[in-house]
Amino acid sequence: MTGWTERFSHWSRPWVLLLTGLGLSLVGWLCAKLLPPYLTLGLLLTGFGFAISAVTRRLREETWAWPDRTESAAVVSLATMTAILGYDAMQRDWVSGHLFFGAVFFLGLAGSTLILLPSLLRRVALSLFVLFHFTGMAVCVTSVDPPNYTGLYVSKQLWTWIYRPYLSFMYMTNAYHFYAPDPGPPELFWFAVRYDDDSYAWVKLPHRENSPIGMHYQRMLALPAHTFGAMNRLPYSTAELALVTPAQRPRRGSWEEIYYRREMGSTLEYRRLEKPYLLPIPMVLDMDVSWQYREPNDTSKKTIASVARRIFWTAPLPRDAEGNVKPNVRPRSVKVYRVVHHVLTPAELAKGISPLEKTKHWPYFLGEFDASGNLVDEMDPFLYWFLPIAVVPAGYPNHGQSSRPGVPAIHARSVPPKDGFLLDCLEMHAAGRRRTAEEKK
Amino acid sequence: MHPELRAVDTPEESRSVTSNILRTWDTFWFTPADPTTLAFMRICCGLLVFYVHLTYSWGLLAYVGPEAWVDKELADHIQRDIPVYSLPWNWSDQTTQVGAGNYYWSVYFHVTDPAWIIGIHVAFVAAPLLFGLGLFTRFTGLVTWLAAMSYVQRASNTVFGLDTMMMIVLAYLNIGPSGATLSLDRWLQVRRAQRRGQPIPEVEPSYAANFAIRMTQIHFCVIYFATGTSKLLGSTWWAGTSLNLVLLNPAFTPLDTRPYYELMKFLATHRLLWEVVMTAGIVYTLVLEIAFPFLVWDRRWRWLLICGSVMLHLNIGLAMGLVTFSLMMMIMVSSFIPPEVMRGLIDDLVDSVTSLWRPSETAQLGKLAISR
Repeated sequence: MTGWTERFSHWSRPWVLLLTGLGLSLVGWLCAKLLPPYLTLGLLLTGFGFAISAVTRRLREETWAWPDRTESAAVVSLATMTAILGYDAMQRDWVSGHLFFGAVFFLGLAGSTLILLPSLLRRVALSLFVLFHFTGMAVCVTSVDPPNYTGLYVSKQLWTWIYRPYLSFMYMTNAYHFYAPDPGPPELFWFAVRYDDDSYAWVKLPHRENSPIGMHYQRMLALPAHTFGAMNRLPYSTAELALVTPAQRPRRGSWEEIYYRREMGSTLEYRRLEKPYLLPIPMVLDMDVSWQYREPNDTSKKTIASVARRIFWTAPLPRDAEGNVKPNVRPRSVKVYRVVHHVLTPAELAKGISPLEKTKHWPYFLGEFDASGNLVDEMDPFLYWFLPIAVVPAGYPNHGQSSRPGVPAIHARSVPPKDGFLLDCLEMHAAGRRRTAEEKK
Repeated sequence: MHPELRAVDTPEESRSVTSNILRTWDTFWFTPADPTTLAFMRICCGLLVFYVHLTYSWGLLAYVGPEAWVDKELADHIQRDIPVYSLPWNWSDQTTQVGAGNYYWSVYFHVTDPAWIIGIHVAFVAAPLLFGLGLFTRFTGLVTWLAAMSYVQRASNTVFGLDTMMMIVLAYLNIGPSGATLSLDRWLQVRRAQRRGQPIPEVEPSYAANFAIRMTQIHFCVIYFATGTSKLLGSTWWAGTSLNLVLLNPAFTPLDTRPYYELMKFLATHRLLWEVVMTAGIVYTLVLEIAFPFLVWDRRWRWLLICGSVMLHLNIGLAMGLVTFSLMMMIMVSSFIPPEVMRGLIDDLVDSVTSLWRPSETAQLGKLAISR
């Protein structure tokens, strides 16, 4: 026998590969505290790789006769040792490594048992696995809440207590409710990067022109939907707060306080690019308040902060009207908006209305964040509120509609007045309100 | 009885229903199968995953770096600290915390040095390419699955349908001998046998190949059934307006391109035409998704349903820009193509290609490598 393939064939005999793998893993395990972490990891993974190769090679040669099966089971069991060594040698905070090697250990155990079982029992065991696996799929599908109801109780319990480790590890947790029950409008993330000199610039995600390839665009399109998850109810009312412990009290206060702050926010004047240059952001009368106030859940708040932080550190350079970079001007904060882009109806399309029509955008303010991802003002009156982009009567804000005296209000979803003008509260909010003399100081 | 099952059935009338079911189950799951279909799926999936991983190169650190969209602090929180709640065992509404953290795992949860991240990324891009080509398939298959998992679990807020399907297909491809044919492994095996003067080994039918294919098929049926029946809960699917929301969605569809916009506007200005087209689209989608899991097992319906599914995903790819997702779904549906048909198609293709030039030793070797 000549040639490198023959030499390779000689060295790739299962037991040679297995012993090499075990040896490397053992060295990695023994020297875990002495060697740099990456070297230890390298030894463990290489050892594991050799063990996998040994198992593969052995199973390829397997004849399924009895003495052969015992040898195969021995190879698989010993290969599992590399997983045990890897698990034990991993640093405490390498959770992923522990999960991976733990799973390999169980897989090896199951594999060697399967090899030893007689044919009929092996089929029974595999059949049970098939049933377990696809019951898990059914659990994922049925534990999602249908509209206005909660999902199957049994499925939810099975998910929590049985399937969560297995399906999360395998990343098979999808419920496969694509475009169901109804296709929803796309969600976008728009960021207003605010600079030292009080100017601001938009970063909009996703943006076809700014995506180098289609996959990047698709991933940016997924970002807002995965980042934002709303709380499933409005905040506690004053009456409900009386029943909770002090630790459970939200810092932003009761729902009545949040609503009051929102109304007071409508008395402040915000800057516009067109005349009149200062106008208040109105209350909206024709939308259910649960649709206007969309507070994210706790995890979502953390994720939004993380996204805002990334935008802050990758913010575009501030430019003047001629497009020149402004020297010595740095980002100060990032305002985050979730924009629900409502889809045109066929009737609107037939009329020639643009799919990018401004009033089709429903923005929600998710907070202003600093460089560290902290909220600048947790008591901001518009935090988590809908900001209307609507055509308002010519006389706005003195057009005769208010939610309480001195608080202007509009109908954002009704037929727009013919003599009205577009009030873009998103742009106004991004520009900021007129600062008082005290604030300017 | 199902025509395919009739073939394996014996004419004994006395056999009980239970034993029939058990025999059918056994035949379905535990009959050795030619791994050609699985190998075809491996090639397509490997190359597609290679592309997917390659696209992470644009803004790699934004996905998996310490200051990514999900930064290190948040990633650790999600992996280790996020509370897990359970419904009560009684009739109260109070949920209780029963644990913390998720069983998520990724190399990128722990590697934060940009140089190491780039190095690992290069390896993770190469692995699916080698897997697709079928070199050291068992090993590269495992590394590809591990790599894909590392991206989807770490960059968890930028995943979409493609990633879900990708992980399913990769998991099943790792079960079966997807590198047994149509692979460099096979080419090396043939070459080795020739050098030794031994007969070319046959590609044996395999239990694992059948098992992997059946898992993929059943999973595909679960996906179709779940997505089809969950649509029945939606009012827009009954009102005939659901496809309006899909086809006029400015973020997905190419509404910013003139031909697509004009087509949609033309349809919209002719209401009857619009309604007929949209209703037909809805009926097509629902019937296909709900009927597929039941009818695909019947040879008379199989090709119609496979073609119907390919058409559906072709439309999703073209109209909604979800090209990679659609390709992955087509790879999944290809699991229903019988191996002998797949083998015939590939042999024809190889014959056509090799006849283009004078058969050389290399070409003959290549043909042997993919033949049985």
